Amino acid sequence: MTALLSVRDLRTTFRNRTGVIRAVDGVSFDLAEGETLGIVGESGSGKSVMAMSLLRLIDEPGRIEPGSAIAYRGRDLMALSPAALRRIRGAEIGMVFQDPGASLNPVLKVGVQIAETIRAHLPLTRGEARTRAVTLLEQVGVPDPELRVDAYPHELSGGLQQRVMLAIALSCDPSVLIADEPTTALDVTVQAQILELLADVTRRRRMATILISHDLGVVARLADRIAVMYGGQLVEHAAAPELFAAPKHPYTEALLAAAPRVGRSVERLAAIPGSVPSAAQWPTGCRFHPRCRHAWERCRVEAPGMLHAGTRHDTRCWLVDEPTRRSS
Amino acid sequence: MTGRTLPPGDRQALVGLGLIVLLVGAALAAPWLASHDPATHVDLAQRQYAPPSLEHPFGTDFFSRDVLSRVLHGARLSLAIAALSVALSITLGTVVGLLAGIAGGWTDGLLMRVVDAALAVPRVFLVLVIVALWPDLGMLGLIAVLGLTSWFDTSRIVRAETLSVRSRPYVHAAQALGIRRRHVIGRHVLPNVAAPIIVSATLGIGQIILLEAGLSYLGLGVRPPAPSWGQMIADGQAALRTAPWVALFPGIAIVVTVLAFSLVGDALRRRLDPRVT
Repeated sequence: MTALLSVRDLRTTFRNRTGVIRAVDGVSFDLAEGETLGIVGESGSGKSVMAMSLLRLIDEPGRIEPGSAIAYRGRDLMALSPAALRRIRGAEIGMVFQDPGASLNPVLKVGVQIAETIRAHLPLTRGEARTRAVTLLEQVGVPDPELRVDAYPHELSGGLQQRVMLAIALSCDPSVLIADEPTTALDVTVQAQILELLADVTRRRRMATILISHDLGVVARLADRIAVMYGGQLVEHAAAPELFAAPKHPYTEALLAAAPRVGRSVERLAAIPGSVPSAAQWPTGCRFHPRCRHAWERCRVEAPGMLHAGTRHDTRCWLVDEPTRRSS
Repeated sequence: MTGRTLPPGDRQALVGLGLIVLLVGAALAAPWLASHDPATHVDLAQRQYAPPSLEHPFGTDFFSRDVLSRVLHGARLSLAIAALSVALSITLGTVVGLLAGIAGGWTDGLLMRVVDAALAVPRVFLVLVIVALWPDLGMLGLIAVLGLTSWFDTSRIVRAETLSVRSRPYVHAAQALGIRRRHVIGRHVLPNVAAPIIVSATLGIGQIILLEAGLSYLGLGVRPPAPSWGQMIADGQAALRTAPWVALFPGIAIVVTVLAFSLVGDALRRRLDPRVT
């Protein structure tokens, strides 16, 4: 089966006076039709830049390095003209953003913003687009959609704003939905509702989804497969149950240990020592080695590639090669 | 909103707004309000430099013309010139500012260096040179010169605001959703940079009125017999001791008008631009 969206060796860099920042450094994955891929990582791991890169939304001084390949239904997005790319954005690949309050234009009514996206891609009249906007608002669970279609963003709660953003992303029936931290800016109770809605609409529309979050719990609820991102690279990639049951990369293990879970009582949550290294100067060898409790000489010198650790389970760790090195 | 006390700045702004309404009303109704034709010599023998009276509340000038009528018609002229010049300068400043802010790179660099160079020359000198080199300017020419020499500040302000708005999440979101570029600029960037443009326009009207009055005072602006405030002050200068009303009333008109627009402009800036405290 060919993938709906196929990413190979994606590299996005930013140049400034002091040097080159390698924010995304060789990310590869496939997304199949109807599948939900979760991408997890700390702040600074390159998740958002990666998401923006998929639609080539990187502004100067950033740039997607030549050699990066992004294919949607077999079409090379890197080779598309700006006009052709615009027709993909929003129509074929929809996007939901982190902060719905800031992602909606404060001076336009939400109905106008939904209709605007619809009319950018479909030959509908103003009236038809508005009717469709009302239907969409209803589908994403906005109460009184006929009234709310004329509301300004600031008149809506954060949860409703995110529902509007989702309505916009869904407006042209895309095949792929990219949701970048869709619940991070919301209250916990609202988070749960939005996640449920997201799960519901993507399942009902059989939409392939890339769900990006720093929160393993969020990703666990929706994702079929999970990719863990660290230092601009994917460090582990596996089916969701497998990843939770048998993580192979020390970073994934540490993330799981650091996440609180109901029904598991611990004295203290484990913290990962240190912080994400700077993208201007990644550590030599394995990028996680300064924070890894298993690291040995090889990790400091030689950078591991994606190694096969099981059925559709890959990880970027030398422990796959040398399991005896694992310290208890 | 009755019963709520307004902050002092807003009270000043209301005074300014009231004055502007009055001035614009007077300017529009000048032909009906004015008791005399502004250019008619009423009675050259008897009424030269007649002091204020019931017949001539602001007195008459050297040519026995009614000063009140001339001040009213002057308002019409000054406000029309200022409004059209500002419309021109704001349009130009907005287009250049948006272009520089959105295009960035060398387009931005080139445009802003041109603006820097223009800003380095004091505006009065710039206008004086143009007007002196091109004596038969006419009214439209004057408006063009005033408008074409006053957009530099606006373009800088619009550029700065565009740079900040351009990187707001909703602009990125619009791009990510495949909105056409001209819509992104017209509906997502432009309305969100409108606030400083409005402030700039309001303050600009006061400045242009002052500049036009100065030019007309020097005899380089509006040509007689069209009644311009600046030129009326110049006319009255000779008789400042014997007939001060000739220069006094147009002088007051200029002060009141510029003050009114400054009050409203400053209040708008306080309201719309949180960076000014």
